[in-house]
Order: sequence, then C-alpha cells, then structure tokens
Amino acid sequence: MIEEPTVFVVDDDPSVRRSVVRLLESAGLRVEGFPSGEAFLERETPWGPGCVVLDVRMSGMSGLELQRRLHATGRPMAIVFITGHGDVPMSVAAMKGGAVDFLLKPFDDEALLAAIDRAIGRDREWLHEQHELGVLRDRFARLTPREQQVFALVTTGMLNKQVAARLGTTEKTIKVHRGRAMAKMEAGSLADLVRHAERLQVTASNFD
Amino acid sequence: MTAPKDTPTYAPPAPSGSVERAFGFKRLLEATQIVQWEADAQTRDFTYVGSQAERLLGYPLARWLEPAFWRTHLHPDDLERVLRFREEALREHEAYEFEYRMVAAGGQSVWFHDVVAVQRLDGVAAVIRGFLIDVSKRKRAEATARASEARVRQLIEQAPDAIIAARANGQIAFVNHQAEHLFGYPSGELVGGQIERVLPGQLTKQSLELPGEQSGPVGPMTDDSGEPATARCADGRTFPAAVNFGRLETDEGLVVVTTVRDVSREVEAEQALRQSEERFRIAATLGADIIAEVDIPTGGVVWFGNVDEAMGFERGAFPRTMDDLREQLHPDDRDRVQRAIAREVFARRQAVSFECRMRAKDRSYRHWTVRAAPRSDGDGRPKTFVGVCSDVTEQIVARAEALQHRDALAHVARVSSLGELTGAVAHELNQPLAAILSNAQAAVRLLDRDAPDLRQVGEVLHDIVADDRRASAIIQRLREMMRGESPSRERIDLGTVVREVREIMRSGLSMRGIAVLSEFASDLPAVVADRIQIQQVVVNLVTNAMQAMEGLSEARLTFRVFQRGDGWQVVTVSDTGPGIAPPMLATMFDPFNSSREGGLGMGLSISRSIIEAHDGEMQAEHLSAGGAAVGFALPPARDDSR
Repeated sequence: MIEEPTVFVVDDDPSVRRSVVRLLESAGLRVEGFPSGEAFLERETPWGPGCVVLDVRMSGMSGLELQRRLHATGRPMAIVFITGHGDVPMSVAAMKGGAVDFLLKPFDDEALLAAIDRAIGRDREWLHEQHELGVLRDRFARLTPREQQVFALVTTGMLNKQVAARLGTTEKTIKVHRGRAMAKMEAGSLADLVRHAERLQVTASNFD
Repeated sequence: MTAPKDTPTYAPPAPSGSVERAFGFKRLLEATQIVQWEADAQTRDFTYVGSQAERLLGYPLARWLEPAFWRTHLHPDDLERVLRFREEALREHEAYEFEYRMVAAGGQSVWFHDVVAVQRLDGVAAVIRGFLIDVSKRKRAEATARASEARVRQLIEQAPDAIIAARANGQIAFVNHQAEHLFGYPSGELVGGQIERVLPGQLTKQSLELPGEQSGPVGPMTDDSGEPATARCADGRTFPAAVNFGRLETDEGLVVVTTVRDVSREVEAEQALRQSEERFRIAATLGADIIAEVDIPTGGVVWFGNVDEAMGFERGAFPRTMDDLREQLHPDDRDRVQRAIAREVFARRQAVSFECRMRAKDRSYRHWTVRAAPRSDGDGRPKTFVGVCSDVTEQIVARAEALQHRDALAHVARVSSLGELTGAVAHELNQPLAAILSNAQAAVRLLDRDAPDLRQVGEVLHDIVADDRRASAIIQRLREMMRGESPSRERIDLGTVVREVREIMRSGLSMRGIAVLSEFASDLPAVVADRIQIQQVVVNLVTNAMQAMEGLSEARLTFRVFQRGDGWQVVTVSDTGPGIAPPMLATMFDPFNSSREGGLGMGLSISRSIIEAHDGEMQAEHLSAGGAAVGFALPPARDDSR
C-alpha cells in the first residue's frame, strides 16, 4: 500500500511560499501551502506519508514552535527547515527537535528535493512502525485478562511453575493460557512474544 | 687692672724725727736704689739729694742742686699733670706720693715713684723731703701688660660672639660691645651686675663647680634636654643661645669667660624643618600618600610614610637611591619617568605629574601617580626634589575593569547590532533571492517537460521580476534607514568635546606609555552637531591612533582643534605610528577595510557616515615626519540654524 506523499510548505512570505510550492509541484510532488503554523495546525491531521518544509522565522508562531506542537499532537511529521538567516543555536534546536535538514535561503532545488526525499522516507518508516504497533495492540486487545497476565509474566523470563505459583493456579493451566496468548499474538516462539512485549511496553508490573 | 697713679693716696707717715736721725739712715739708703732728697716746697729746688741720684739720670749731683733742675727735667708729657697735682697736694696734704717721668742725660725717660712729706711754717708749706724710687722696670712691665691687655681687648671686641667675663660670685667683670648689643644694654651697664641677668639659670654655677682643670675651656653648656640655653635681653625678651664657658685663673680669682651666640635662626630653621617633616609624616600617615625627598647630587631618597610596608618590604629594604628605584620601575616606564624628571624638574625646574608602575616585593606592580617638584633654595640648581606618590592601583584596576567592561559591552553591542543588522539584511534579502531561485528552477523543470505549460512559465518569470524589484527595494530602504536617522543637534564647543574624550581615554593612553599633546585654538565659535556622535568619532580616531602605535617606544598622540581659513573647524588626531600608505588613503574610510587583523574595518566608515551626516568631511594625511593625522572638518554654524 504505497500512498502518494504530500509536502506541506509553511512560510509567511507569500512569494517564497508560492515559488517553493511551484518548484515542488514541478518536481511532481503533491504540495499544500500554508501562510502560518496556526493555519497548518487547523488542517485535518494528515495520516498519509509526507513532510513539512518550514520557515523558521515567521510572524506569529515560529517554525520551532510549530515543530514542538506537532510532536505534541502525536503526529510528528518530518521537517525540513528553511531560513533566511540561521545561526548555530537555532539550527541545533531544530535538529534536536528531529528536523531532517536545515537549509539556508536561497537554496538549490536539488538540495531541497533531496531533503524532502529523506524526510518522506523517514515519515514512511515512522508510519510503518505506527502501523505494526497498531496491529500488535489490536492483537493484545483480543487477549483475555488472564492471558494478558500470563503474557506479561512469561515475557519477563519466569518459568510456568513460577507464574503458576504467582497467580495461585497450576502449571498446567498456565501452559494453556500461554499457548492461547502466543496464538493470538501470532508469535512463533517465546522470543517473538518477548519482542512484541517490548514494543507494546508490556511489563509484569502492569498487572500487579 | 692697675689703678691710675695720679689719684692721691696716703703714704704711711713720713719718718718722723730730726734730720740727724734721718741722716743715720743715710748709708743704708745710699746702698739702695732709693734716693733721699730735700727741697724748697715752693720751687722744689733741691737742697739735698742722695748720691745715688747721679746713677739715676746720669747727671752729677751738682746739677741736681742747680735751681729749677727738677722742673726742667720733668718729661714734657707729664709736666702739666705733675705740677697741678703738686700744687694741690702741697695745699691740702701733709704727705703725698705720685709717679712721673724725668728725662735722663742720655735723653731716655726714667719713671719715678716720688714720696713727699711736707713741713709747714705758719701753715705754709716750707720744706719738702722725700724719696725717689726708680720704677721704670715696673712701668715698662705695666705698659707691656697694658698693651697686651689692649690687644686681648681688641680681640675680644672683634670676636663675633658676645663675651662676658664673670667672677666666681657671678658678678660681671667685663663684657664686649657685642654682648651689650646682643642683650640691648647701654655701654658699661652690664659690668658689675650679675650674669644671671642675661643668662638665667644654673649655667655659670655649673661651670664653676665642674671638677678638674682650674682654667681652660669648659665647652658648650646646655640644659638636660639638649635644648639651647635661654638668654634674656634688657627689654625682657628672651632668645635661644649657644653658650660656651671657659675658666680663667686670675689675680682676682677664678673668672668665667662666657661666649653667647644667638641661635634663634638656627632653631627656627630646625623647627621649620621638623615641622615640615612632621607635616610630611602626618600627611603620609593620614593618607595613602608616600613622600620621597630626593637629594639630586647623590640620588639619595628619604621616604616619609611607610613605603616599605606599602610595598611589602622589610623595614628599610625598599630602595633608598634613585638608581635602585629605577630598577623597581616597570621596564616600560623607566625611560619615560626618567625623561620626565630630567626635563621638567632638573632642566625647567618645575613640577611634573606622571603615572608609573612600581614593583612590590611580591613582584606585582603597584600603580603610582607621582607629583614631583624641585625644592628651590636660592637661585642655583635645585639640590633636592620632593615627590608625592599616591598608590592608585585600586582605582586603576577598578577603572581598567570598568573600561574593559565597557569595552566588552560596546564590543558585544557593536557585534550584536552588526549581527542584527546583517541578520536583518540577510533575512530581508534572502527571501526574494530564495523565491527567485526556486521560481527559476521551477521554470527550468516546467520547460523540461514534454509539453511545457508556457503560461505557467510566464507566471514564474513574472514572479521572478517582482522578487528582484523587491530585493532592490529592500536595499534602498536600508540605505535610507542608515542615512535618515535624525541625530540630535546642539551648539557644541569642539575643544570641550575633544577634551572630554581625552579625559576618557587618558588612562588607556597612559597605560600604553603614549604621551599626549594638545593644541587647542582658543575662542572658537560653537558648531552645531550631535555631541555623542562627534565624541564617538573622536574615540574612533584615538582608538585607531593607539592601535597604530602599538608596541612603539616613542609613542605620541596629538589632539588638534583649529579653524580653517574658510571658517570650517578641524579636529585631528595624529600619531607617530607607521603612517598611511598612499593606496590606503583613498579607501580607508570604506567599510570592511581594515589594516588590522581581526579588525571589522567599520570604525572609520561609521565615522565618515556620522561626519557626512553633519555635512562635514573626513580627512587623512600621511605625515612626512612619520605617522598619520586623521580627523574631520565641520562647517561653521549658520546663524539662522535653530
């Protein structure tokens, strides 16, 4: 399922915004332009792959502020910063915030497109991970509470006997729960099951 | 001190009895030098003369008995006196004696002591008898004594000091004129009085009671405190006196010869010196000042105030000579200080102030300001000079820190404002540039397509033109912003403005060992300008001059303010640095044109902007004597200006 990516251009300078939108369109990308960070946040959260080309210095919400807000929404899109005048502290802050690149205006089209390409790639990875995690969550949600308990305790390395003692039941019963949990989580081995537990951040303490 | 001999004295009663009895002594008398005689009382013609008389004057006895022999052989100088005395004595006395000279056969004078007894008949002197004794030897001795006494007296009178001779009981036996003059007594009044009158106290008694030699000098006498004795004048005034005593054993007993000299002047001078030393000490103790008195011929230094402690030395260990002191100076200060002292104090004989760095025991340097002035005693070259030294290290450090702080702030402000400026310029300009580039590159892509949308390309080109115009508009606006600032305008005196800058920069110049000269034309009319901006320009000029002279040993900076022929006023700051190479003269006021590594090259450019905003002009000149003169000229204030 390869979805068409979208590039969101956020710059308060209309002529810069129009030229960048035009450049990216000429390179065959789907582009949406926004005159401010506020305007972009008003848009429906895009769940498809994409990235943001973001001016740092804008009247109103700055580029760095928008970067923080996007993180908070749970949809941290990959960002390529563009700026007319950048200094070191600003670029450090941007990169720490997860920016893909930091380009000084005027920038070369190749540089911008390469940065966008990387940003979209990273966004796809992120979406893929979010997707896999969603699948695991769905599977985990189908486990009974007892099965979830056994899943959590077993993946900490406890033996069936120990889990049985902990839950006040027999080893045989634990074996049954464990077999069902593995089937529902589509884990081929205990190692698979442990990996899923890590991604879901399931720990025994959740069930104490 | 022989009593005059012409005063009548009473002889013992004449040998009484008959001539016969007297004749009984004849042989005895003739064996002596005493000549017995008898004469008429009125004429004194001898009726009898002892035979020894022949030996006395060399005349035979017969001549003695001739009439008027005695009278005609009296010494002419004594004649009148003798005759008058005899006449009176004959009338009033039964016996008398006197001394006179007679002239001998050989022409020489012979002194006689004549003892006369008068015999009266009916109350009238009839016969006189007596003895003649040759006293020439004694008289010669007396004359010699008188002569030597006169010489001594002359000596004493010529002595510079007052001399008083007193007896053991304190009675004054003799004084010289100087003594009478010194103590203010009329001639002769002191003699006979007590020496206590003029020298109160126990001095004379002390000198008399001293054991040891009976005569000879005793030496100066002072009271226990070592102070001079006090002498008292006739009018009750007292004065300090140097007094010397000598003891002399005489016929009249022990005599104390006292010499007295008025030492008020010496005492006053000493007190004045002590007071001034005291003042120095007090000044030195109260303030942080240390005072040095330098003896110029020897270079010896006397310190008032605890210089040793101030500099961390053991007591007395800080240099006490100019040579050693020189070594204590910061090497960069030595020649400058020495030249200043030599030129001002030694040659021009005037005071000079300078700052220098003096090394303390811990090898740190203390900053001193020194004010040195020659001490003139008379017309000759000064023999000493006094330096008042203030340790201003704390102030200097504070000032340097303040300056550094201010410099740092100014630098930060300048860099950040430049940074902001360039940032603003960059951001403003980069927007249209970015748009132009992106548009152009988009157009290239559009044209690369198989079926290019020319209408769209036209739109792109249209945007590119618009953004280009926008870029040049930004530059235009910036230019107007730089030029259009409206500075404050007031009437200012350029001399005052430059003096203020000189004060601000003084310590910085001094610390770099740069000598500062000023030539300000007086009575210049005011110009209309922004004081702060003009000061900024002068500061820039001084900063550049200082940097041009960095590390030079002979560094001199000259401020000049004068009026040009056309009425414009000119301020220049000249230095003794390397000067300005001809190619630089044309471009030195352009921005980003710095001859210094790390220099922004903005100083002179900003200065030019300021001066041109004042309708003035910058000027720079390479000096043929070396160095550069950089400055500006401002037009005269118009009378109609606000």
